[in-house]
Amino acid sequence: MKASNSFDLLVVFTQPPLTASLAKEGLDLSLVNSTFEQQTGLIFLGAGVLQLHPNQQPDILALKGTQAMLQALGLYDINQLFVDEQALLDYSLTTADLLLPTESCNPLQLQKLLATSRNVLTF
Amino acid sequence: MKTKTFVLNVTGAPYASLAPLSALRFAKAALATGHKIQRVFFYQEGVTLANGLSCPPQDEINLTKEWQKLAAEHQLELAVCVAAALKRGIIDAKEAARYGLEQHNLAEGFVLTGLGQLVDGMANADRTVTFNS
Amino acid sequence: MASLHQLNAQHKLANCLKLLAKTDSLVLIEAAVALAVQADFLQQLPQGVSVFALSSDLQARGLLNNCSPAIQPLSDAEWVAASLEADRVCSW
Repeated sequence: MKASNSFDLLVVFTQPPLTASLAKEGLDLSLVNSTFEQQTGLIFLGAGVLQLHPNQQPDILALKGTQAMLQALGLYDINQLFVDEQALLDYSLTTADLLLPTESCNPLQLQKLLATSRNVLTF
Repeated sequence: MKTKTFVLNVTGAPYASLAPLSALRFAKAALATGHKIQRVFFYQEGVTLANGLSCPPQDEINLTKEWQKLAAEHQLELAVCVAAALKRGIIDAKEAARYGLEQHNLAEGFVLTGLGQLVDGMANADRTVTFNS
Repeated sequence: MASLHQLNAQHKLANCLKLLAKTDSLVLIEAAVALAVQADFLQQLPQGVSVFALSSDLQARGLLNNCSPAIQPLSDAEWVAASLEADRVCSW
């Protein structure tokens, strides 16, 4: 591993909540990655920021949702969550509205995260 | 040219997406140019390639068989995410016994395994390439 | 530390553009090769991005001869080489 890499794996969420099993499978992978002592960073891009929307009630559709998994991220030492600044504007959200503490990033900052990570997967 | 190792991560289903076909093309080209495929991992909808009961029409490509053939020729590891597979009805004899099911359908040459195999592969290969739906 | 962005569907372009840096490259595969013949496609990309499209995917769809001269068709072997030339592949 090169010392300049900020993350071994960058996981990018691009879809709104309850888009099939996409977010769940991205979070599963993030947690497993962390148990292998690999540094994991999460980006919520475009409609993916809605994954962190606070008022989700997936049980209305008899779905499990990802809220419990998101809350568990900290236990797995995954504390670096980045959100797409433009997407927050597009959806009239601020970082204070979101389920978890995140860092708002402009395009150059997002591109830098990718440029300094070893691997990337999009969900 | 220096030999490099690849991990391929296939997340799109056969027939519903081109992911298994594109990954097959990539794998063949990588092997033909002297590189190694350390592992092919099937995740999300990609696990359905491992359904041994799929019977596409005879005049259409049988992607499961094509992958089996390439894997046999080059001793490739075809690793299928067990959690994603069970959810989608892809099951081997051992899991069938565990869940009290009478049937199983995991195609020969594929093996059910944990997500850790993808993580391990990504950490160790020179390059990981994902094929999405 | 450049990335090769691998795009397989036109509707994923908007998200891809958010992470596409001017030093990165982009390879169009599968049905996304349709972008290679779309008039305003290249104008949406940051200046300096190298753009490739898979030859077989273009040819299979009858688009190889209409492909913009600014887009380089790649054989499957060249696709493998491009993935190694970059520091990582970002598949959309």
